[in-house]
Amino acid sequence: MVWFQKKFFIYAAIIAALLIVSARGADFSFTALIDQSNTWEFIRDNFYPLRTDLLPYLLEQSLITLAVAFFGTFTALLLALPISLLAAENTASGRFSFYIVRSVLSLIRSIPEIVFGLIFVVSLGLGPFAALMAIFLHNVSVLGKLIAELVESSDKGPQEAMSSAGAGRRTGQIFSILPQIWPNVLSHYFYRLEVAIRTSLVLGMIGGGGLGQSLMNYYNSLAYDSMATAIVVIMGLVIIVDLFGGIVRKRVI
Amino acid sequence: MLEMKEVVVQYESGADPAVRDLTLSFEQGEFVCVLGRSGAGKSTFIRTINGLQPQTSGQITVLGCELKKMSQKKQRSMRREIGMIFQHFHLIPRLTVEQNVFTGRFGHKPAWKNFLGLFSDEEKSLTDYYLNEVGLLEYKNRRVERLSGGQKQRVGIARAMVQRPSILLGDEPVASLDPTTADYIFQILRQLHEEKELLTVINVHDIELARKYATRIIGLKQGHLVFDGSPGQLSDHHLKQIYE
Repeated sequence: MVWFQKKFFIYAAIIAALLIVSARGADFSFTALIDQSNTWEFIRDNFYPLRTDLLPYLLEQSLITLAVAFFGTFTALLLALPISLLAAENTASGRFSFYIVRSVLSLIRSIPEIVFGLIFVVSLGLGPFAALMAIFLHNVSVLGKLIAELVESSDKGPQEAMSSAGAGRRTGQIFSILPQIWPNVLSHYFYRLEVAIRTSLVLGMIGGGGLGQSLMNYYNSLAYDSMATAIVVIMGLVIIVDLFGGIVRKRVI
Repeated sequence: MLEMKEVVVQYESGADPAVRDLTLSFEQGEFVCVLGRSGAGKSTFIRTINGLQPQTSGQITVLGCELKKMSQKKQRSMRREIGMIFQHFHLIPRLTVEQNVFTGRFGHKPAWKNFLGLFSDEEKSLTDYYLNEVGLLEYKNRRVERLSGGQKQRVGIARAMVQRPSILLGDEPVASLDPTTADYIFQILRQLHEEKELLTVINVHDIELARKYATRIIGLKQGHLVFDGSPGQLSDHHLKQIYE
C-alpha cells in the first residue's frame, strides 16, 4: 500500500458518488448502451450507397469550411500573440492591466462559439462570415490564454541576457521568449485549427455555410445517403488537417 | 570606473541582507575574481552592478553616473557599456550562433531595425571578428542547442563583446563546465580583457582559476567584504576566513 494513502480512497468515493449522480442526470442506461441495434439499423438502411455524384459540390463546400476555420484561427493567432504578452504575469505591463486582460479573455472564453454564431447570424446575416467571426473571437481568447501560459513557463534567462545588453523591454521579451515557445505555439495552433474545423461544421448547422450547412440540409430533408457522403468528406478533411499539422510540427521542432 | 559606497541589497524587508555595506572601487584594466561560498552574495553583488538586481541602499556609480538616479533610458545606455555572461549561458534556443551574437547589438539601435534584422556591415564584421576570437566562426550558422557547454559560453562571450563594452561581468560563467574547459574560457576572457582594456569582474568557485588569472581578488562572506587584495596576498588564513 505504498502508493495509496487514505485520502485517495476518500477522493475515489467522492468521484464515484458524482458519477452515479451524473448518470442519473444524463438518463444513462446500460441496456440502451449495449443494445445499439437501432443505430446500426439506421446506418445500414439509410447510409448506403453513398451519393458520389455529390462529391464535387461537397468538396467545394469543404473548402468554405476550411477557409472559415483557417482564416478565423490564423487571424486569432496573430492577435493572440501580442495579447498573450499582456496576459502573462512575467511580461504584463502592470498588475492592473494584467488582471483586466486576463478577465476579458476568460469572459470571452466562457461564451460558447455557438452563442456567438447565433448572434452573428442575426447581425451579419446567414453565411460563412458569421461563423468566421465566432471562431475568431473564441480563438483569440483561447490562444491568448494558452500562449500566455507558455510565456509564463518560459526560461527567463535569455530575457535577462537581453536586458543586460540594453535591449528594450518588449524587444527583449519577444526575441527571447518567442523562439523558445514557438513549437508549442504551433502545436496549440494546429489543435485549435482542428477544433475550429469541427466548430465551423456545427456553426454551419445554424446557418454559417459550408459543409455543416449542407449536412444539416440533407438531414432535415431526410436525405441520409447524402448526409453520409458529407460525413465521409468531413472525416477526410479532419484527417488531412491532422496529418498536415503533424508534418509542420515535426519540421519546426 | 566603478564605485560602490555602502551598498546594501535586501531581497525582502526584514530578511538578512544578501550584500551588506560594500564599499569598493574598480579601475579599468583590473581583472577581478569574486570568491565566496554559495549564498555569500557573489551573484547579488555582480547583478547589482548593472542594475539587474536593484540595490536597497547605498550608492553605485558606473562610468561616472549614479545607478539609482538613472532614467530607464539612461540605464539602458549604461547597460550597453557592460557586457555580461552567465552560468547557464542564457542563449536564445533555436537561433543560430550568429543570430545570438547579433542580439548583443540590440541595445545600440531602434527596435524596428532589430525586428527587421538590419545590421550594418560594421556590425557584421564585428560579429565575425569576435566569433573568430572565440574560435566559433565556422559554427556561425549552427543552432546553439547543438553546441557543447564550453562552446555555448564562448557564444555568450562573443555576444557580450559585440556590445563593445568597457566593463565585462561574469556570473559564475564556468560553474557548469569541466575544469579544462573552464580554464580555456578564462584564457579567452583574460586575452579579450587585455586586448580591449576592460574592467572584468567575475564570480568563480575555483580558487586556482582566480589565483591564475585575476589581478585582484575579492572575498565575500555572508554579504560582507572579508578580503580585497592581489592573488599574491591571498593566504590560507584568508581562504579560511572566506570559506568557513
